[in-house]
Amino acid sequence: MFFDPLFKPVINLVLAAVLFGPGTIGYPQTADAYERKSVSSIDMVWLASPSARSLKPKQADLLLSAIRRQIMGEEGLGARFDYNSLKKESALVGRFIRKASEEDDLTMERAAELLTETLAEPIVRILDAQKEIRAKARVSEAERRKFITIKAKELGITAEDFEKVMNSAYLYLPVLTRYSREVTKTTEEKENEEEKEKEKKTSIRYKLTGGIVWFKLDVSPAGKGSVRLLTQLETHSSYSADLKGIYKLQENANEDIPVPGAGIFKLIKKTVTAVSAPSMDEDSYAFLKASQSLAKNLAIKTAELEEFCLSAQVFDYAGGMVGFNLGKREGVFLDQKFRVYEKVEDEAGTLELEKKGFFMARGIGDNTTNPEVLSRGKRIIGEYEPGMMVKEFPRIGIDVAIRPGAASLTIPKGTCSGGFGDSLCVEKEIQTLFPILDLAAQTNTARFLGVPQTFITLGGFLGAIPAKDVKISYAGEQKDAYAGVCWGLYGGLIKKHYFRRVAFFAEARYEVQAFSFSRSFDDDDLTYTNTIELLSGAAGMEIALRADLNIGFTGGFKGFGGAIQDTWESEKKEENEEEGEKKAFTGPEVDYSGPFFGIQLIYSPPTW
Amino acid sequence: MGRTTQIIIAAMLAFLLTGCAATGKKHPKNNLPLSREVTLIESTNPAEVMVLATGIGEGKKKNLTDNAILDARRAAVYFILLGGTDPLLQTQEEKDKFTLVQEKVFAAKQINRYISWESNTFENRVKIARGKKLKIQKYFKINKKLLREDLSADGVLIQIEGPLPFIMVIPEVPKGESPIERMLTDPNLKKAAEVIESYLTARRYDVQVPKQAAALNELSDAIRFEQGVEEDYGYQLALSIGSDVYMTYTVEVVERKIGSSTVRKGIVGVRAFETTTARLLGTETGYSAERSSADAVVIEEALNDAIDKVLSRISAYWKEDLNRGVQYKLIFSIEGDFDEDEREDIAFAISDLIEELCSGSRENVVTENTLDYLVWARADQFRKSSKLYRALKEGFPDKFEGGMLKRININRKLILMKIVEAE
Repeated sequence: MFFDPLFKPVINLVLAAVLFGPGTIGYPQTADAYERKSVSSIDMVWLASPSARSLKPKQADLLLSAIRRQIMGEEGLGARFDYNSLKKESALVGRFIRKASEEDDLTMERAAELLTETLAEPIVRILDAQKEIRAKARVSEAERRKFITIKAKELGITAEDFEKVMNSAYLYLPVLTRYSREVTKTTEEKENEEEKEKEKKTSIRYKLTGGIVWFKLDVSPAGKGSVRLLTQLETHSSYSADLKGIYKLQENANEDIPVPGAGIFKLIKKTVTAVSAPSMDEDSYAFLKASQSLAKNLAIKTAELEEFCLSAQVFDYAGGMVGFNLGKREGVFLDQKFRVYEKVEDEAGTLELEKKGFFMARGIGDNTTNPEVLSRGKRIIGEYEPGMMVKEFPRIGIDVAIRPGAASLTIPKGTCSGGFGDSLCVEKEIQTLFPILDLAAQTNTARFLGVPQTFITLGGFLGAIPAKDVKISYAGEQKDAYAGVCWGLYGGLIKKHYFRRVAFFAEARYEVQAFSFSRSFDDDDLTYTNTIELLSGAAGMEIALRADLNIGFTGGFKGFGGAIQDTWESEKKEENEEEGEKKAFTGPEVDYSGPFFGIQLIYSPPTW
Repeated sequence: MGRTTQIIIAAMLAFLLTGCAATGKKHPKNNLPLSREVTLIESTNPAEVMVLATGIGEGKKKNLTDNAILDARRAAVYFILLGGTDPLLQTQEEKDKFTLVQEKVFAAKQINRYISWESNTFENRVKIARGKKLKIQKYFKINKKLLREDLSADGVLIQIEGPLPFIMVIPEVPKGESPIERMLTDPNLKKAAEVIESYLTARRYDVQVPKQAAALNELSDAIRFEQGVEEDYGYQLALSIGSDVYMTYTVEVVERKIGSSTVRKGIVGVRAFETTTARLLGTETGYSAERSSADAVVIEEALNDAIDKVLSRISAYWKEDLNRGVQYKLIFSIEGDFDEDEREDIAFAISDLIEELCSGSRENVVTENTLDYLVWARADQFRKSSKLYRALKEGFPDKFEGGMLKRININRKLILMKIVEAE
């Protein structure tokens, strides 16, 4: 077997993870059905370290906005929460912020005390005003049924429902624990000995470590509110803005930037719809992207918390479709993954949750007006029974695909020159099936397109081409070329369809693929690169091993309709030179078209 | 060891093993539920009861859920029939008869007839016994009325021959107060009376909520000799109306604030008495959930919680009492000019006469001027009180020549008579 030696360890690892991974987790003492929580945000970033305190007010606003969108917004967890707006109480929020800022070393417990002093009462008032409408959604099926026959006009809301509403309020406070801004610099060549070395910034990277502190508001029977610390979530993110090395980065720069030898360039500005600002500079953009990643990760971590995790029951199950009592009201979206659990009581009477498999949401029921409307899910793994517990399996929605495989390439026999008094000689036609390692990110777009299991894929690969029949001659010397390096970048669309745990997929790609041969001579390095743009298609099969891991194989054909564009370029670089001299030349007509295949491992990471 | 011996030993072992397997075989399953874990939630309406029932499923893995649900349904019906404090099957005779039809009643097809509603969700679902069994919990509404009718048709439930008891409903008030007046002024008491009335009429009981005390005055003089009863309006009213049973009730609505909302909880007490003796037949308290609803709603909910249980006890009492005959309270007032010996003879004569005419009796009070009896007359002879009065009137002169019986007041439960000198 061609792949055996290479992939056996991977397969073993995957099987071990599947077979010996944790099968059960401790059973939480909560009812199966998710009960809505209400949330208030505190518009302050708690800067918990000296590095974090260097955060600028504008950046704090960006971070707050990103977190609010993920926790409270429709694109994030917003649907599962009721929002206790503190807009009218902004003075009290300001009082909390002021008090918190005055503390030299603010602890989370102290923050809870300050919140009790300042914000507990206004939130209790909000809850009180909203409780009837919120409690309505909590009336159980049995309670409704009890009332429906004799007191049909009554809502069936009990004091218990009210108390639950009053005791389901949470507050969150964003925290930044680490903040770093790294600027990657390059140096220009010295013009003369006297002139100082000039620096040029090429890229900027923000690294953020932070989280949100969740507080819980407890309301006493007398209606007195007190805030206590619930938990602290922490994650990190980073983002680098690529400035391509030709722009001088200057914060808030609006002026034209002169680039030596290239004319006058304007600083690129990227419009970011996420914030109210119509445009922003690269620095802010990089920070915003880092903030968004951090916020997305925090949303996932929040969704994993027992208090906020969507849970339900299997209502019915037939023909591989599951009916479950969550829907639009809770923000369930197409392709959202849910795990199914069975409660098992051992001989000691301890309850545990046993994983039974997972399904993906297909038909999202509109339960905003009628709570009895169900959503439908497609079973992927497991056999279910009515009454089993359903819990969401929060993921970022971007899968990582690792695909070791092979692709074909044909380089005809021939000799050509790169224009440097050199020659590239392919002595014998190279017709090879060379190994590649492909890495791709597959973003699930079902939520936005309304078509299940559609993915936008962006990826690249790296491979090695045998070069024993390739000779490079330069300066009267002929040498064998080093092994050729083949790489490619691609973007495309994937559509999958599951039959139980087996998924079949088709993929269409636009690729930019290249390979190069190179060789070092005494003072010069010569490189010949062929680049081609082409369309390719693939299909394959995957098996879902777990809710976050698929394994399968893919096969396809590259170069439908021939190459879109095919170019050869040679480069001669002297020793210690960063960039050499490049020339386009006419080389042999490389044929990329042909089959490619491989195995693939798809992992759905929980965070970025 | 020879080959023949080996074969014999092997055969014996095989026989032994087969035998063991045979004896180890479970008895064929019956339809009775495995689980008996049921909680009464509420008597939702006069015909239905809501319960939270646990079911245990066993057998093939793919059938565990279905079996557990079926078991929960059976447990729910079993609870109505035989569980709790007020089961449908109350007498030993009924229980014995039920064993003959229990397989039919608990058959899968039949049991579903009694389930008028079942919750879609499980309150709990847990695998037990190393995953071999499944325990579930669900809410059910059981159609108790249908169950009762089916069991009556099968001859399990003892049919109450003749009419159901006539029940009077009256609020319980502090001594000296008039319950009728209180009911007119307190809308909660009025509402409660309506709910009880509605409940009882739905069960086909004759029920009356007295609106006036017209007959009371006439009666009060006659029964005032009974200690303490002069202030017991309920008893007096019931006697005056001639009910078989009377029910008294208390209503309280407590409220508290949750935030700006007021939530109310209804608390009711319902007591049932035998009219003729004021003997307590049953008492229950009922509670509603705390709701931000009007008083009437929580009162109704609380009453639903209590009334069904009390009614079960009335029903049990009535069945038992009917076996003894039709119960009447007889009060004889000796008003003629009789000397001490004559008065003694009158007492003896009345006692003899009652023994002749009635299947059972109890002497409540025998004083110089009054004789108070509780009697059970044969239903085929004395379905009406007037018939008993007539028999007493006609038979008395034979027992005591110098006197005669005259009617003071007769209603369907009480015969109030005076003994005067013969004309």
